[in-house]
Amino acid sequence: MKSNTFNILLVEDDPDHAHLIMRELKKSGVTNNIDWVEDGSDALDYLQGVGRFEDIVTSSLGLILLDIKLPKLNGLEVLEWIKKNNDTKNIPVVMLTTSSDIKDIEKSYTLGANLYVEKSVENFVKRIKNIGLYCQYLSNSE
Amino acid sequence: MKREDPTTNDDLERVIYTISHDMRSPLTAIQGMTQILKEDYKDLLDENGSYYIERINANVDKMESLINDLLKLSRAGRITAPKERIDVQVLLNRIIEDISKEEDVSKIRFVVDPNLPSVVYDRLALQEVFYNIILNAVTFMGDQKEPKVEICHKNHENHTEFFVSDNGIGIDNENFDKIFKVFERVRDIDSKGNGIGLPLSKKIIEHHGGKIWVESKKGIGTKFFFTIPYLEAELSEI
Repeated sequence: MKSNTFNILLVEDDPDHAHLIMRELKKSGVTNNIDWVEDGSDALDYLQGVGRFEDIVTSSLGLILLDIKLPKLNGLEVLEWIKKNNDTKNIPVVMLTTSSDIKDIEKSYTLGANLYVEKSVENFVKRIKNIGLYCQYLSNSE
Repeated sequence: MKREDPTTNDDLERVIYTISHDMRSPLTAIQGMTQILKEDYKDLLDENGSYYIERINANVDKMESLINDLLKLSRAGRITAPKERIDVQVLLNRIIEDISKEEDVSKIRFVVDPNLPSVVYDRLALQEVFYNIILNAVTFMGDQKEPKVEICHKNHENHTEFFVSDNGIGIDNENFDKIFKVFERVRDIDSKGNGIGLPLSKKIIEHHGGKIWVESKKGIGTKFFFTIPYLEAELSEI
């Protein structure tokens, strides 16, 4: 069982949402290490292993959960960077956002997002559990 | 002549959109955390504690419904999806089926014009308009012995006119304008909605260059009309 072989990067500016996401992922059986950053600029530093993320081994990153409305650089700008960069373009990216705007959905898929999940008020926890299943699928298919 | 400033209107819609959108974020956190309380801490809650959690959830749902309606309203004036040819007959069958899942329509006779045309329009927008008007007819039917909702059309030189009539409780003359205003509820029947269906329909119809209006007599029934302009390509075919 290779259920904890890769790291997950969570890019989320709302600490309550981050808490809920990490909690529900763990509850749904995800044992991977989850690193959390709060803005788009930190996400790029993390992905390049620079600044305060010098010690991060980016090659062990296997999944990115990315919010859209973020300080400094928004999620779509981060996504564009990820998918244009040879070292990161193959990492699956799940957009995880409260936006249900069709423009955000279309732009995300155009830029190369692998999945777009709306943080719906009614089904937030359930949807995080489904992402947990996706994580486990990725872990087991490595 | 009074003219609306399109920039101000557009700005206002963007503000409404942004605020509504931002309001969903804390609401999502509240809902997620009350769900955790319910699932993981239920043994620590007494009957009162559980009751308050349920009330928080009910109010979150209500708030979400209001926010979603605001989002729909702001989108209707800003975003137009690509137009496509729509078979109105097929669309109506689906809408009536959807409404019948939410409301008891078993006694209502739906009479649909068998010669309804196909139109070129934003599909979701047209669906929203017909849904709201038909739901309105169903909701305000009253205790009519032979309830009936009729959907017909008439072709004009530059547009198609659709009308939905019912033999329900009707509307007072002085409320004809009010029913198209946001969050106004002029009739004293408890309905599930937030009073946004008709204002949203008006916004959609006018955004697409049409008109919407109502004729009604208290105790006799109501008839909603709206128009869909022909596209230039369609006009050249006539």
